[in-house]
Parts: sequence; structure tokens; C-alpha cells
Amino acid sequence: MNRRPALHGIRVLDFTRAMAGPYGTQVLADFGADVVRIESVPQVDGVISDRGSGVTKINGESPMFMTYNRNKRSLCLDLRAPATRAVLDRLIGSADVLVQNFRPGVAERMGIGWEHAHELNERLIYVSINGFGTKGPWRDRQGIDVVIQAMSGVMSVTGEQDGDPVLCGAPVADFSTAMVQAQGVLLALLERSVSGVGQHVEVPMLAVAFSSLAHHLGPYFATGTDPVRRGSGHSQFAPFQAFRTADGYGIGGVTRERQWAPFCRVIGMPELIDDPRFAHNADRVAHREEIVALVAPRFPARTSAAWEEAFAEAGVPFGAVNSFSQALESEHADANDMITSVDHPLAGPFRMVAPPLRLSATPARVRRAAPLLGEHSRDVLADAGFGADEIDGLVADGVVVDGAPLPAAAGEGS
Amino acid sequence: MTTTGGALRTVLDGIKVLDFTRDMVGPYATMVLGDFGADVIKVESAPRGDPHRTGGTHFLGGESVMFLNWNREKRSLCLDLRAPETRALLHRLIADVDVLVENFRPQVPERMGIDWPTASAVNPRLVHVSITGFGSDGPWSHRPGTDVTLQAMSGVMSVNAEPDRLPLLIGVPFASFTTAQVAVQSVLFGLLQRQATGVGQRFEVPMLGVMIASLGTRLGPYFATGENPVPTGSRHHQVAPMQVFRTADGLGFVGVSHDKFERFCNAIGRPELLEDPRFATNPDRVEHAEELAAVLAPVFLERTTQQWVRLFEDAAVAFSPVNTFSEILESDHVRESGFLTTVEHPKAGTIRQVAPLVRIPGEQAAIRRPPPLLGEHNEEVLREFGFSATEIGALADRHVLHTGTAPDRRER
Repeated sequence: MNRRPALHGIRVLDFTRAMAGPYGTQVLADFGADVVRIESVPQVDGVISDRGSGVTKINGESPMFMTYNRNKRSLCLDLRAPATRAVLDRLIGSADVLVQNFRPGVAERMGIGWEHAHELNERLIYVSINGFGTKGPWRDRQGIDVVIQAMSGVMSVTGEQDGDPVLCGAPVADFSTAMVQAQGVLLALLERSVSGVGQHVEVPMLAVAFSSLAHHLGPYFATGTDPVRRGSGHSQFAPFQAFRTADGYGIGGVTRERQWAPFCRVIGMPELIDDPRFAHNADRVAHREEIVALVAPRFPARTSAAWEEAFAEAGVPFGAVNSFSQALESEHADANDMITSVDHPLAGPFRMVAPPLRLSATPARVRRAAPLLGEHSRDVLADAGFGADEIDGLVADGVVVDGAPLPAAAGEGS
Repeated sequence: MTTTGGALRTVLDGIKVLDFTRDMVGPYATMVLGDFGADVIKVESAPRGDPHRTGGTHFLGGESVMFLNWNREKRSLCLDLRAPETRALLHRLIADVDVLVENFRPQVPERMGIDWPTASAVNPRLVHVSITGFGSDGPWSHRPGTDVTLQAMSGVMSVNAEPDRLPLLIGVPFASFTTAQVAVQSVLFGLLQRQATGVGQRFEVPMLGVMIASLGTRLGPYFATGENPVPTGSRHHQVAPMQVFRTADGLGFVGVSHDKFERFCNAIGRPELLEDPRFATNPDRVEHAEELAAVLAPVFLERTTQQWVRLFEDAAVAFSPVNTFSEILESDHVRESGFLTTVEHPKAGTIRQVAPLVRIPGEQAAIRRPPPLLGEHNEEVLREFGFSATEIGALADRHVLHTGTAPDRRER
């Protein structure tokens, strides 16, 4: 059976910047939606460009930008020009989804607020990603990953017990928000298929970060006691933390009662199995320091990989603390096609992570690299019903920027 | 026409989910489906059910608070999963549900007869989701995947450390939480597509793949240069200054994006930094981040955290206190914004929870059902799937069905 991608024919106007928004719309693009990034030259106040972010560059292109903007097209406009409003109105009229992550009020000033968009197109699903929600004293604040990590309590539980809170090395607030945003679009598309009408969907980053507090929440809400940082240790299980091995670090341990005996046997300390101090998880958590002092000296005897194998056989979770190269270049990542590559007209072949979600009949496809600025301005307007003369006029007036590369330089991904 | 406020809450009305998952990642995902109206039937293994019912260190009314936190909106069906008649029973359920979610280790679904080939033969409309640790291929596919092993093996932990110290665990279960969100996506993709095609499909959500995708800002530079990123503690690796500073009375996190440095220097009363060639551009500031931090550290000691909050708010520079749980969860902002909710549980009483994440502005989410007691809905569920009272009685007599009393948390 020849089946179309799950989001075939869904048009997304993507006004988002930075990471949380673009990574979420990329998920939609990976599954077949036509995602058009709306960008501005020159820049407009409150609408920053994210094309130049970071210090690393390949032929002037930002690898950060290219990581979250594959499979999209770029339409570049002068968002300050009065003529632009009419262009945006026509695009909104034929779109299925609009996603924006401006600070409150900016979308309204630009003429793409929810009320206006809903009036133009009642089928439109309108997604607002914001830092702190629409109520409360912080609603106008800028929500960026690190600020959300700090304010949500995530940083308060990350770090050594005797040290300062530590920023999570992965952008946990941005990435989680991106995944929840994609859910929001899918939920609203499902609902629209019944009601025929779109709706306004809001994803506040702070609420997403709260939800990720996960196993800390129950104990906190039950006792009102703030959790503490435990370095690599787990608040609810012991022994369960990082250990120094012969060649680095590994992390793992006991999360189920039935794993305790095999754990003791693998590390060669069967005498601990029946030690009454460590009989149950609650006992082991209470005697965390004693137990760690007993078992930690065993780990330097073998390499992380040897421990991984031994624990895997015994059904006890354990993993090496891998560097990027160890993880991303591993035989295992390769066997599961977790990394892919796409040709970029300026940056050349560019490696990226393949969509983590696997569908049996209509898998995600990486079709094209992150777009050049305005690369698809003409195509997008033509698709929205603008005539060739009209488009030429808009380009000549500087309302629309045509950034398509010369045909010889154009490249498209596999 | 305007949309009604409750629309999102009932998107999945009428969708039946057979949920075989346990621990955190799967249950968190199926809770989200329940939040949006799906009928989630949690199939638990007799006699003790989901291991998280007895896990962790805190219990309310005999139920683990971890279990309570991510099992609302579900009904519990507790079965002897090893009994010979269970296979046929499960097939009767599978024939009449829309979604099946499992997070067993490889080969277990085959043994139980709930794997994709078997289940889709029973019900071609089924959306079938397998959450795995490492994917179905490759040398690590047989390993148990837990949040911490995935944080470690994916490279996430390698950038989560103070320079020269033991790597740290991200204090929240990031691998489990984000994999849960991707699993929810998979169900929604499957349902959307089924509307068009009339048939279901199989999804696989490998935690390792999700974690690798989460390396986010760190990935592009790695793929561009092949250099392993180094941990920088509380300092950002691509932007400076973006890190924790000590204030007169605590800790604050300041984040100055590349276009805000001038505003920042003026706000802190140090315009002379703008003339310093070491700090001229963001790449210069990242290169000289330690020198910049040394210059700024004494400045931040001059005021309290709240004074800095007000000062930077006026200057539109990102600054925030590093909040503890109680500071944030009991704050005015969180109270007013409706991010938290409560649910009544028959044994644990009133429990506080985080409200559903995808919202309609202005609407307060209502939780319909507390986390279930073990086997609480055995009879109710089987009746709905066409089992007669006699059949249900016989299954109970043969201990295929199991109704839980409060689980013994001191299990071995």
C-alpha cells in the first residue's frame, strides 16, 4: 500500500526563533508537513534572527540553526513594510497551523495575533509557545532555556550535594517544550478533524519544566521538603549512581528489589545480599553512604564496557558515561540509523540526528537541509496563489527577499 | 464561531488505549493520553502490578508517590500475565482498542502475543507503540534502558559536570520525560494517519534516539568539528556571560544573548566593559568567559537576588533566581498561572500534581480520575469488552484476574 506521510498536505507558518519553537516544527516537517519559516530582512524589534547563533560556523552557516531547521522552506519578508500585512493575511488564509514564540504582544503588533488570525481562517490551529504562561506576574518575561532551568527548580536538583546548582548540559527546557509543542499541534489537528474548527494552543515552558520534575514532585508535594542535589545519585534508589571504572565512569545500580542480589554477585560481593542494613530499597537509601563506600572500590577493576556487559547479562541497568564521539559514532547508533546526513548548499554534507520516532508504514524522512534565508520565497508565494508579476513586484519593492541560490549551487537532501 | 474551551480535553474521547507499560516513561505518556480524554486501561501483572506502585521512598495510603504522580486518568486491570488463558483474553481486548503501548524488553511482547505482527493480525486498525531503551537493532538492543543509563550512554552526562569533577545526573528524569512526550506524539501521528488510511501502524520510540536528539545546541558544533564538547558547569558553552553568579544573598542566573551585551553593561553600571576588546563580540566573550566571569563576580555581590531581578527586568536582560522547589511551586506566579492541580485519591487523599501541559489559554484543566488502585476496574473493563458475568467469575476463581489490596511495599 502506498501511504502518504502522516502530515501530508498540512501547511505550517513557522514564526518561531531559537530552539524550542524550531525543533518542534521540525518534528512536523519530518512527518511530511510543509513548514515555511517566516523571516525578516531587515530585523524587526522583538523578532530576532536565529541564523547566526553560536560561535561555531561552517562557511558562515550556524550548525545550531541547521540542526533544528531541516525539511523547512524559508520565506523572507520585510516585516516592517506596510504591504507585508496583506501578504501575511493571504498566507494565514490558506494555512493549517501557525506557530509563534514571541513575547506577549509582539504577534498582535505584527498583525498575526490569535484573534486576527482566527477571524481570517477559522480552521487555523494557532500555537503560542511562551516562557511563563499568560497569567501571573512573570507573564511578560523572556523564557529562555537556562532561565527556565533555573526558575523551575530543575537546576536546584542538579549538581554536587556540596556544590552550586549546575546548568543541565543538554537544553532540557527547550527540547521538552519542543516535543510538547508537536503534541499540541497533533491534538488540535485531531480535534479539527471532528469540529472543523481550529483553536488556540498554548505551551508554557515553565509548566513543561515542572512536569519534568517527575519523581521529585510526589515526595515534594507529600512532604513540602525541598529535594537536595545528589551529584550522580538518585533520590529514590540506592546504590544507583556514577562509579569510577578502569577507563572512565559508568552509572547504574539497583531500582528493583529483584536486582539487588544479581548486582551484588556481579560486583563479587555476595555477602551483601543478606546484610540486614541493605535488605530493602528504603534501607539502602537510608544507608546510602555506607553502601556506596562498600561497592565503589570494586568498579576500578574493570572497564566501563566490561561492566556494561556483565550487568546487562544480570538484568541490572548500567551504562558507560559516553562522550559525544563514543555515543554518536557507536556501532549501536549506526545499527539503528540514529544519525543521518543531508547536503546543504553552503555548508556541504551536514550530519544530524535522525527523527527518533520510528513509524512502520510512513517513516519520517529527511528531505532537505535548513533553508537559506528566503530560499523559497517565490515558491511559497506561488503556492499561496500569488501571480508571477505580483511576486516580481513584491521582490522589486523590497517587501519580499528572494534568497534562492543559483541553480548550480542548489542542493537537496536525500 | 469561537471554539469551546473544553475541546482539547476531549480530543481523544472514545479512543481506547491498552497500556502495558510500567515504571515511568510509558505511564507518563499514557497519562497524557488520558488527560486528553482517552480511556486508558492499565494492564498490570498479578500479584503486585506496576513495580512503581511499591518503588521509591515516599508512600501515601500505601501507594508510592511516584506511581501516584503519573498514573491518573487510568483504569487498572490486573491479570496473571503468565496464565495460559490470558493470551486469548488479551486478544479479545486488542480486537476492540485503538492503541496498544508497551515498554517490555525485546521478545517479551512475542511471548505474550501482543507484538505487532500478532496484534495487527487481530486488529488491523491498531496503533502499536513500542518504547525501547536502545532500539530493536544493534549490540545494545537487549539491555535494560533506564533514565540514568540513557543519560550516561547518550553523551548527555558527559556535558553535565563541573570541569574536572564526577559527571552529574541531570536532577530530573530527562530521558524518561522526553521519551514519554515523543511516545505521545507517536500515538497522535498514528491516529491522524488512521483517519486517512483506515489502518494502524507500528511505532518504535527508542530512548537512546530521543536522548541523542536532545543534545540540541551541542550537536551542530560536534558534527561540524568532531570535537567532544567539554562540560562547563553552570556556564553556557555558546554564549557569555550566561551562568550562575553569587549575589549578596544567594544565587542568580544571568543570560546575556549576543545582542544584549550593551544593555547588560549599562544596567550593571560598567559601560567600560564595552570598550574592552576581549569582550567585543559574543565569540570573544565565550573565548574569554573565565576572565569575564572574574570581572563580573564581584559586581553581582553588590546587590541581592531580588534587587538584580528588578534591575534586569527594567533593562530587559534575562536574569533569574535559582529557585528551590518550594520557592517556585509556592510562588504567586505559579498559583495564578494554573500550572498545578489537585486530585482526590481514595487512599492517598488530596494529592497535588502538575496540570496537563498543552493548554487552551485561560482554561483550567480538570482531572477526572485519580491513579487507580491495583485491579480496581477488572470487572468494569471486562464487561465493557463483552465478557459475561460467568466468564469474569471463572477468571477470578482461577486467579487470572487479581484485585489488589494495598500492595506490600516491603516486597523482595
